[in-house]
Amino acid sequence: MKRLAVLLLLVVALATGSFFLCYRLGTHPMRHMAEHCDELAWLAHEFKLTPEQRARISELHTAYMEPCAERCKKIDETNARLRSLITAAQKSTPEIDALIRQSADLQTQCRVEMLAHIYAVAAQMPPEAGRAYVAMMQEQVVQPGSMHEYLRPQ
Amino acid sequence: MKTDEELSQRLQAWKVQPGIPARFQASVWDRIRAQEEAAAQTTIARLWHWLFPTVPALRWATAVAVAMLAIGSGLGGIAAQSTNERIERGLAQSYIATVDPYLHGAHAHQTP
Repeated sequence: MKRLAVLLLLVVALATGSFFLCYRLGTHPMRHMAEHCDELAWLAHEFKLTPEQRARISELHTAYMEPCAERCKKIDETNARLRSLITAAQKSTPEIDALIRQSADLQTQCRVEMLAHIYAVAAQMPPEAGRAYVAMMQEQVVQPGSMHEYLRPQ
Repeated sequence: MKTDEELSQRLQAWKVQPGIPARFQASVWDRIRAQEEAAAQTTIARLWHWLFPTVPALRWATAVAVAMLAIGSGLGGIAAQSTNERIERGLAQSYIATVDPYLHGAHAHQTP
């Protein structure tokens, strides 16, 4: 009976050990990317980019980020102003109409610049990967702020 | 009597000078280590024999061990794949959020 217990313990230890070893080894690269919040590492992994391609895309990404952050700020400001006007008013006013138009113009500008960036990034990738990248990103241009079907949390 | 006195004198004059052989301490430690190793080997052998008293028992144990390794690593692989998919989704969301200004506030840097 004691021998059986020891054998059982060994068997459980063996199975558990091999489970965790495989799990840790199998998830190590992804966990490393996630821990460093390295989206570009993910992009390079997903689209099998060479270090040179990744470096060029990284430059493009950095160059895109600054104006993108400014647009972000403008969007937030416009939305906040629009919210307060809508809350304060009882019916549509010329100021609200103007702000809605301004918001639409801002979105148009964002979409145009986003598409230009997407094409610039895709151009640095191998043709097949570039097409896949554009296909993945196009939804953001068509409908900014939307989440891909396959990206939604399950 | 004279002989006894002489013997006594000689015995008193006799001095023993013990000599320690070269590497005496090292040799003692070698012997202690060898005995400890032999004892340990005996313990492992005894434990092994207690766990697997017969050859069929050892064969069974080997088969079960291989099966457990396969099951454990298989399940580990499946779990890793599922975790990788979840992390990949998070990283993809993060990347898209860095490009799409309308996602910045809502989803930027939402890696798991």
